[in-house]
Amino acid sequence: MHNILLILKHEYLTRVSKKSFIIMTLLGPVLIGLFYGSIAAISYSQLNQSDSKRVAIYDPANALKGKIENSEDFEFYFTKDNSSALKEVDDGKTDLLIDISESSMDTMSVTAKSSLSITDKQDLREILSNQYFNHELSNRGLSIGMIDSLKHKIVISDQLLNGQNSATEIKSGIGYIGAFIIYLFIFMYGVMIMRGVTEEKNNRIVELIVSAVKPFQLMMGKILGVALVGLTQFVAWIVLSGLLLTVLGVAFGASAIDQNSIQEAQSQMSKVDTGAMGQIMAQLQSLDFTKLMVGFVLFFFGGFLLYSSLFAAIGSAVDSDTETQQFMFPVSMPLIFGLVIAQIAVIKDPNSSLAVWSSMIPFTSPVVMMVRLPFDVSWTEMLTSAVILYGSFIVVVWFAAKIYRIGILSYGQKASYKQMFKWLMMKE
Amino acid sequence: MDNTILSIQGVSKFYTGKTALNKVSLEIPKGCIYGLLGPNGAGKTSLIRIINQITQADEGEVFINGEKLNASHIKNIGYLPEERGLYKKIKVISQLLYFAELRGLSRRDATDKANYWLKKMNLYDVKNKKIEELSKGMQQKIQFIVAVIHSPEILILDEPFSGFDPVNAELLTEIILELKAAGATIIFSTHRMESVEKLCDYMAMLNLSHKVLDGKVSEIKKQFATGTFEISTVKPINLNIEGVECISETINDSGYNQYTLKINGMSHNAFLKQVMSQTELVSFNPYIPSILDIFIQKANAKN
Repeated sequence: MHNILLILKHEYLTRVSKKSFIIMTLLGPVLIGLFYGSIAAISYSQLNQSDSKRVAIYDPANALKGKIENSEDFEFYFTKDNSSALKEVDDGKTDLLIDISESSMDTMSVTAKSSLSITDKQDLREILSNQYFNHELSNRGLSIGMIDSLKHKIVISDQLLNGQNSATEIKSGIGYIGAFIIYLFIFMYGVMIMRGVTEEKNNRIVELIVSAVKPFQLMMGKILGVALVGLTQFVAWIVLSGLLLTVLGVAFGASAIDQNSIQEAQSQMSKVDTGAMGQIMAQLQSLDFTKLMVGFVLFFFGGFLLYSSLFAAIGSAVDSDTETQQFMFPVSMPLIFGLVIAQIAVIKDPNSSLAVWSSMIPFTSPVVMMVRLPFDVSWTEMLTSAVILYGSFIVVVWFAAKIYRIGILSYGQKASYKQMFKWLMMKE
Repeated sequence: MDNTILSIQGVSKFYTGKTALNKVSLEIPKGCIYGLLGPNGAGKTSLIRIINQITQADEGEVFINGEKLNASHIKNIGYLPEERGLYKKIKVISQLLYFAELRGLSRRDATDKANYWLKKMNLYDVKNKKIEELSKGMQQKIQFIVAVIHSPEILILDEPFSGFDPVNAELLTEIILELKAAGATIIFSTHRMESVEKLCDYMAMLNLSHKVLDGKVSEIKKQFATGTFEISTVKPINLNIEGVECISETINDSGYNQYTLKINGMSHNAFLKQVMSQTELVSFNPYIPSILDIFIQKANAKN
């Protein structure tokens, strides 16, 4: 234990005092901010793109005349001359030509210079069927006003049996962010461990170290040390982001809005407690933060320990980073698979059998369970999954250590699964 | 043997399809310099790894001061591996402290020792530099400090002189002798047999995973020298003498006739009288074989 602590301390201090770590820790929140900022900016500019598409409708029978309105994305005009419209499409003056000369409203042939995007196709289909629907209804004697009043948007105010707000959006968001952080850190720091192991092996330092400590102690010290580095960075990012937001808030907010107007806004906000803000607050209050935090830390560490012992074994078996590829893939597959399940199955139904099972299977559980956690997973269920996860870690680390202790001292052999299996079977 | 610090008893090590050590037994006396000789692949490194508890023997036992080898002995052993390696991006002093602590020194003792050795090796000025900023020779010296910083009873040096220039090799030799005088037992492993001939008190030879020879260096030499002489003369001599066996004859660099021979059945004086009656005698010496000669002789005998 003393040795593990010594190695842990060494690994931690060396990595934390590295320039690259300090820079990444300081720049991380800024980079993440920039990343999301630019994504927001790009999608915002996409949404507000003014260049709507010009769509010509060849409608010799006047079937749609006066029934199509321009929309945000499309500007329609009618033409009687198919060939001149085609020429305009070719010249780029017109983007699309819709031919309804066949006078069937079921199929419309659309001609464009370049392929239509999926969203364009969807939008167009929606607009045209909508217009058709309105047209047919008004043909049957309904006024436009009546039609609009029939199109009622229903708000689903869902609540659980215990009367709490079901808070689906917030829960999905929190769960997904947590899962993604776990996924990211396992990869980033798992690879860091793998590199570290290969480096020590190549430097031949390892021979000196394992003459003083057991290979298992070296491996565990390294894994735990790097886990703490990851946690440090994570906590630092949260603190720094908080500071950054506060500073930005002070710089931009407080200077523009004086204290009075803030109070005014607050008093107004309290009046409109059914507003969006109030709903978010209500949703947040319905979350069990203790369970979320405990779960996050449990699965963050558990997932990390499980995967890094595999990464350490890979690092010990190879002679250089370039050789790691073939082993990285099968190891990272379940993790990537977990993220896919988290994105699809869980968001669709967090309690579907696929979601439940993969939140129990140790290799996917750190990511999937994290997404499921906000959706009223019981303590028993969460802890069962955690016990399975840590149990499998003990099994996996035992196998990994067997590969590790022989791998680190084997040079010049091309690493292969066959070789690793042989090492696994070798007696002490 | 009361004086034995390290006792290796019937140790074997097998790798898949290969025997690295075959029932090797050695007794290493306290306070000596012990040479572990043999060509590459003879099993030296395997044996050293077993003593260092990097791997375990498949058969046989190792005892240190009469105690079966265990984890508590790690602090008694210092190790300079053949393949040298240090953390390139870490400062000299942090590196030394880390390894010293791994060998069981407290932080304070480690700091004292590190400073002592850095001064002794003329490296005190670079203690805050990273290893990669140092010259090869300096790195070698740091590596040596790592091996001795915790004042081990047993110091295992695998090919210690490789990578040292003559000046530093001399410094190293001095320090090794100092450590010996202070009571440490030093095990030298090398395939360059002539390089440690002068330093070693005892030695063992390994070849093809077997021990072929061990004992006190002076005795081994005496044993192999028995009855063998080198004689050089101005003119060729007739060696058809009873009790004398000629092993080789040649003309040496000075143009004299030189013979290596065994004298068994007569006194040296009687033999010399016969030679002198034939021609002018230039020299007559007992033939002292080099360690390499002995090794070749033993290795051939085994095969």
